[in-house]
Amino acid sequence: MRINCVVRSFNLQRLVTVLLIFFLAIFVLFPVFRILLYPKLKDYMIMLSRPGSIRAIKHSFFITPLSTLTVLCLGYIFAYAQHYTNMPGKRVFKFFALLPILSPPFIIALSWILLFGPHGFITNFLGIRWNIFGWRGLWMVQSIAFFPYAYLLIAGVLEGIDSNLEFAAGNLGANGLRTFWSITLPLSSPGLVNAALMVAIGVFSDFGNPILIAGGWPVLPTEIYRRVIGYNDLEGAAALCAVLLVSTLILFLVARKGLSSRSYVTITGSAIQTEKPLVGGITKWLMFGFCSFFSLLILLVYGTLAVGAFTETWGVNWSLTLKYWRVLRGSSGLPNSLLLALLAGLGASFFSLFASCFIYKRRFVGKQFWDFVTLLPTAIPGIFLGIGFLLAFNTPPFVLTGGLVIMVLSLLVWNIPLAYQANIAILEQIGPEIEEAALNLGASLMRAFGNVTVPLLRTSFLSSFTMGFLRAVTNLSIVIFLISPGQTTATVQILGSVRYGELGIAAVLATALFATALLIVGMMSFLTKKSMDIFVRGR
Amino acid sequence: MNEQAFIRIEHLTKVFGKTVAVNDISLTGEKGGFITLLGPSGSGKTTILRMIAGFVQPDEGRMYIGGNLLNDLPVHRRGTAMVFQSYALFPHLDVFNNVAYGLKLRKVSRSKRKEQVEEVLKLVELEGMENRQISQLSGGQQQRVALSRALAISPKVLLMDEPLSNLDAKLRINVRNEIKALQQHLGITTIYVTHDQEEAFSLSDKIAIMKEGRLQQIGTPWEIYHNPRNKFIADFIDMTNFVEAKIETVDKESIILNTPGGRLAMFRERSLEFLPGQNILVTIRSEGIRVKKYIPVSSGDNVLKGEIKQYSYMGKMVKYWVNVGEGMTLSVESLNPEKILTGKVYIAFDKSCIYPIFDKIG
Repeated sequence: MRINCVVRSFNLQRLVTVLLIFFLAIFVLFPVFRILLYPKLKDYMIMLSRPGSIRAIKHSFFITPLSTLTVLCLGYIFAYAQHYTNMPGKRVFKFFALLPILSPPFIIALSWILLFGPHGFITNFLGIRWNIFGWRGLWMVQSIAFFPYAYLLIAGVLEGIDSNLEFAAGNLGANGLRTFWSITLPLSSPGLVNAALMVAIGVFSDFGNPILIAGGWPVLPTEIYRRVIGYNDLEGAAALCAVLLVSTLILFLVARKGLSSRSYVTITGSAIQTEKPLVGGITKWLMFGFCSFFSLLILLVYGTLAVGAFTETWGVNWSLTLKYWRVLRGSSGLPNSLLLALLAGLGASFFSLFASCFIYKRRFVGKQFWDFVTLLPTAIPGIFLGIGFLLAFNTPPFVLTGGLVIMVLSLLVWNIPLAYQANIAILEQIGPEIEEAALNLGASLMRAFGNVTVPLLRTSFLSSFTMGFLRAVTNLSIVIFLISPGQTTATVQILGSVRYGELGIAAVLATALFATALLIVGMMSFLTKKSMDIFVRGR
Repeated sequence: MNEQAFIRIEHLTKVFGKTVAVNDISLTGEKGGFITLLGPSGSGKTTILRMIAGFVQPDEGRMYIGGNLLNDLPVHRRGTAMVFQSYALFPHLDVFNNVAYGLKLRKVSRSKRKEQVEEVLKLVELEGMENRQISQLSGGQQQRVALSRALAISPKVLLMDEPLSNLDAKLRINVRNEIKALQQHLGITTIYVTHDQEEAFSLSDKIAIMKEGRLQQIGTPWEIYHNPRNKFIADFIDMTNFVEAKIETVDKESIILNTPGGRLAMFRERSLEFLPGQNILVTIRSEGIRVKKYIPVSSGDNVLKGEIKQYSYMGKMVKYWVNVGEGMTLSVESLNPEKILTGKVYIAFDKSCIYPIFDKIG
């Protein structure tokens, strides 16, 4: 009887693992290989000899380090000010710093155009002419859009530094500046490197901002888009996608290696967490000034959108109107976005829950490989995933194009690594003993999973659902290749409106999308009672 | 207050929120001396240490080292080297660079630095370990690196915050002896924080016992053991036999007490006032009590009849709990036992083993 029970649960466990692996093979590996093998060698050669491609690649390799470096500096100062000063308004600053996560990144570009564009509010106000379209505009917009991610990752590391180390440095004779350079900065370097790679992947594969603001200054993702939409040149697009993927994959592998060899985690236990040594004087007020300026800038970005949603004709006629809000009636964009995000968020969280227990925690042949595949979507740029799904699922054996299903699946796959990492972080923390205790007391593997592991992963489930929902609802780069007539999303609609010059409609959609996202996060944090901390990603 | 004292702390006070972590503490210490702040967790001893180091600002009071006021000096100019409970070794630096850190800041030349680091590492028997990473060291080795890092800068005062609490019991005693030997060898003024009374007694010239932010008693280990000022102190230094007694008679040399277990004789301490009829609390040192099956010939001053309730055999001694009367149980530590006794017994002890406890502070 008992033996029978064990055998049955063993098979069930195996079945789950096999199903998970099947899913990963079809929806992660297949699209990737479909893209890589789609162009012939000749297509690769043509693509790499075309001046347009070379230009786009050069631009991408120029803007990525530039934006990443800026974002890191901004994020570091912000995070440092949060943890090492007692300046006023820290909570308010933190709130503003995290706002850009709640909106599609390219919303910043839209707002930037409303502020500094040819008919922009500030342009008009100051009466000057400048050109924000091009790399300078892109640089600034990306710096704001990707700043929160760097801030969060760096803040997490700074918080984890044992403040006694800094006290020890002071105690041995180091002044504040010296302590910072010799202790704080080196100890935060693993987080800094991690943040740099994450932001670099984001900037490198960013599609929304360049298409809106970089105009005639193509980068890789916009060039790929142009090949698909403008020339219907799928071979050429796929070849460029390969370049994109190889680059992000290298960054991803470096990041993974860097993380695993990180050795600065607390060495001795039972350290009493004391307050950080605080920075005072001029430094503190300089940081306060910086944080205030940056927070006001973010407020300006989102305030402009809200005002834009109620303005007759931006830059020409400033009278108030509600007419653009009519776009929400009868349009399927926003409801579609919400539905997609709900399903993709839930799906990714459920998948990761099972994957973390039946791939990460089990031993079987090829485990490491499938663990890697589960994390792989982190390194896959959205635009690659979009085209990958398009190529993989528009011909037999799998025909999924032309509906919401393919969009849900692609967004789900894109969200898996986040949720998976969050679960793993918790599983690592609690260690295997708890589950072993359940087995020891007579629970079968499935029971131990249901009774012990799942409840422990509840918080990471909720937080990764929220994060997944936000990422899906704000996504543009994937869904733009998968929409079909009548089945669009809010983000695609916004892009369309901007390109047709309907800034009012774009502002309405952006505001509505942003407000909805804020509402969802508010509800989720009320549920999890963890405020904005749900954004702090698992390692 | 001694104006010449090397370490002088006056009316030190620190409030965290609503709790008074350190409440009006004053104490002094000699140059080259070893002072221990002893107390349970939350008694404010670590906060005092952190105030001396400058990590925490006091709300009131002054601290002096060698006549110089510390209060307004920044952390890095205080010349107080600290050994942290968690060691706080820099994980990104190897052993050499951890120890050399303070020397580098003091602009000691490269060659001199090397020499000095080697010297202190030799003191703690870590020579040849210069290039090890911190994560490659055992707990005991990390502890020594932490100590040598602090010693390297030749501090005016060495501060140690429960430095042995992360070591296992056996290692703790070894390292304790090494610390004592090193401290005496170098003649370095030390302030030590611990909750372990054995550690405090074996290391210190002077012990300050703390409770809830207040100083309970300060004195040499001998003074504290033989004259604990109140029940908390007596309890904290592991005295277990507390007896409520009534004074029957007082004469020149001794006092006769009436206790539930019978009449007991106690030395009369001249400095204190005793009156017949007064109720007092006394303690009887458990290692001073002898347990016999029959009335011993040389019985000492006090002999009581009793019955062994429980015993615990600990190798070099047996601990008995002997019931000697209504609600009066004495614990007895019998060293070098010949055999384990049970049942009805006699206990005997000198009148010097019994002394009064007053609930007073200071």
